[in-house]
Amino acid sequence: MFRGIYKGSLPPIDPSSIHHVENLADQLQDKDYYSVEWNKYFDQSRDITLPGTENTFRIYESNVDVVNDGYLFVFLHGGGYTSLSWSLVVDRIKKQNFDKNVRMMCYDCRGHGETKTSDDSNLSIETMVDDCATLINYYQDQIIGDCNTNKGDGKEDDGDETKERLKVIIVGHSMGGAVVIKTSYTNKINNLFGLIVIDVVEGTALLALSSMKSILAKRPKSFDSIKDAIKWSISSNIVKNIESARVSVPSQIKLNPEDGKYHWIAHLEKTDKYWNDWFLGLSKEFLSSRALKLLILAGTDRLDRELTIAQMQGKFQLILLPLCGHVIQEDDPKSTSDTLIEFIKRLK
Amino acid sequence: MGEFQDVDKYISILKECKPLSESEVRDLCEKAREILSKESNVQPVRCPVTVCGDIHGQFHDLMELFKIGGNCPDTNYLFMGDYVDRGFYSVETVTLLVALKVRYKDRVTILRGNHESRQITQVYGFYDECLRKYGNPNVWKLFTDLFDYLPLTALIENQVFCLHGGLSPSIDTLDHIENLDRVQEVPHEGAMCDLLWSDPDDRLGFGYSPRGAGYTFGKDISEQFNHNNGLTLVARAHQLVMEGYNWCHDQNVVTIFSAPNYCYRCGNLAAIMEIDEKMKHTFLQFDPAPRRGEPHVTRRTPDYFL
Repeated sequence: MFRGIYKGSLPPIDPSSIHHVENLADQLQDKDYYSVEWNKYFDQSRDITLPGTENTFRIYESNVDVVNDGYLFVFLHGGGYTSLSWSLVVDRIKKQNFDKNVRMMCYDCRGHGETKTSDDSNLSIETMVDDCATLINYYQDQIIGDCNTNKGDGKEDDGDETKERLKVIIVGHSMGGAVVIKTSYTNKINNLFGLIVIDVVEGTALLALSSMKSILAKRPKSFDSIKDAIKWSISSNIVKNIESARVSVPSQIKLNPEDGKYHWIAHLEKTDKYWNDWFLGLSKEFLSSRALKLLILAGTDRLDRELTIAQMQGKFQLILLPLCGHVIQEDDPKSTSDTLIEFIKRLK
Repeated sequence: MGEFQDVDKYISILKECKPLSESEVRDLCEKAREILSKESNVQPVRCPVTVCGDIHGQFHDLMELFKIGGNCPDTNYLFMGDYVDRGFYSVETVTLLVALKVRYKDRVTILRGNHESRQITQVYGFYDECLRKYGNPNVWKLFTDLFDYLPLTALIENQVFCLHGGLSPSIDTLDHIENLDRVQEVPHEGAMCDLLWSDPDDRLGFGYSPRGAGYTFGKDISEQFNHNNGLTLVARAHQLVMEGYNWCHDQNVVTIFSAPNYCYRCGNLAAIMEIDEKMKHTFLQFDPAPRRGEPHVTRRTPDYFL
C-alpha cells in the first residue's frame, strides 16, 4: 500500500529528468495481466503445523539441499501481501548464488495467504513475534536438522562437528519489517546473524497511520477476476513490476462462492487496533539488535530523527532505491537481491 | 587582480545563496581542476588553519561557520569533505567552496568525502538538486568529474593528519597514500574507499564496518599509525557527534562535524577546530543559523505502513 503524498515545499523534480517513470499501465495491454504460479520461482512449498498448536503455516523454499555451512534467509512479507511477494527476489538469489550456500524460506503470516491458525484475526505484535521465533526455530531444528541427520551414513554425529549450522538472516518488509525487528529484539531466534528491514521506519510509519484507514477504504472490496486484481495493482501504482504482480497479487485474494467475486484474504481494516504497537519503539529496537543490520528504503525522507543520527554515526548500513515504491522487493527485485547477496559476500 | 575578476564575481553571487549559470560552473570547474590536479594525495598545509567537518548542503550554516571562524582569506580553512547531499543547498555550498579554493588556493584546502562520488550523490540528493536547479544533469556531471581530483588527505605541519573517514588495513604509512591513484570514482573497497569510509571504534584492531563500506579501527591502530608516521593527531569527520567534536582513542583521534542540526532534524551542535601558529588547537561550537526563507522542515510523508 503506497502512494506518496508530496507534502514538502520543495519544487517538484523536473519531469524531463530520468527519474520520471512513465505509468506502467499505459505501456501494457489487456493480455499482459495474466497470473503465474508460485512454482515458477520456488523449488517447493509445504505446510508446517507447529507442535501443540492448530497453527499451520504455508512456507515456500528454495535451495533446500543447503543444510549447513551457509546462510538461511527467512523472508517476512508486509501487511496484505504473502510469501509470493518475494518470488522474484528468491528466484534471482538462487540464480546468482554461485557458491550455493544460501537457503531461502518465506512463510505466509497469520491471517495471510494460505496460512491457517486458530485465530487469524489476531495480528497483535506479540503474536506475530511469537509465530516468527517459533516457526524459524522449529524450521531450523526439525526441518533442516532432520536433513542433516538423514544425510549421514548412519553415524549420527560423525562429521557434523566440523559443519556449522546455517546462519540465519531475517528479512522483513513493512509490517514484516516490524516483526523481524521486534523478534530480533527478544533474542529468541537461534543462530540469528543478520537483520534486514525493507521500507519501514518508526517515525514515518506512525505519521502515516492516520491516513491509513482512508487508504484502505479506497481499495476495491472485491474483483470480478484475478486479472482485474492484477490490473488494478498496476494501474493504482501499488506494484511497478508486472512480472511480480502476476505471481504476488493472485495469492492475496480468493474466490468467494457466494458472490462469485475475488476478495482480499487479509482483513487489514479489522486490525487497526494493533497498528500502533507494530511500530512503537522500532527505531530503538532496531539499533539495539546485536545482529548485523541493513535498512533498505525507497528514500532518505523516510528516516526519522533517531535513525538519521544513527546512520550518520555509522551504526547500520543504509541502501536507498529511490525509483521504487513501497514494495521495493517487487518493484526492483534485481537491486534487492544484489543488495542481499552483497550483504553476505562482504562477510566472508 | 584582473586574474580573479571572474571568480570574485562568482563568490559574491554565491554568498547570496544564488547558483551560478552552467557556463560559469564549467569555467570554475576547469580552473579548479588545474589547481587540484597538482595537489598531493597527502596535501601539506601550514598553520594557522581552521579544520572543518561535514557541511552537507547546509549553506546558511556554512555562512554561520565563516562568521564564527572568520572570513576567507582572513582565516585559512581546511574542509574534510561531504559538501553535498541531504541539505537543500548542495549546489550553492559546493560551488562556493570550490570558488574559494580557486580564489585562495594556498589558504583553502578541500578534501574528498565519501559523498563526493557519482554513486552516492545520485541517491542522497545532489543529483536531484542539480536537475531541479538547472533542468539537466550537466552541472552534476561537471562537479562529480571534478571530485575525482580532490586530495584524499592533508597533513598540517607534519603533525596533524586530516581526512574524511579513517584508517585502512592496507595503509601503514603516509607514503602508501601518496602512491594511490586517486583520480577515479570512489571504489567500493580498498585503501581509497577506507580513507573515506572508516570509523574509529572502541574495539581494538580493524573490524567489519556496520556501514557496509570501510572498516572500524581501534585505539591500538590509531596509536600505531600516529607513532609510525610521527603524528600527534588524526582529525577526521564523517560521523555525526552531538557536541560537534569528539575525542577518542586517548586523544589520538578527533571527530569534527560542522553541520548543525544535521538534516534539519538531528538537534546536534556543529564545531570547527582552530589550530594556531603554535599548533595549539581550540574548538568553536555553533548552533544552526537563523533561517530566513528556507523551506520549513517538511518531509514527503509516505502514507504507507503495511
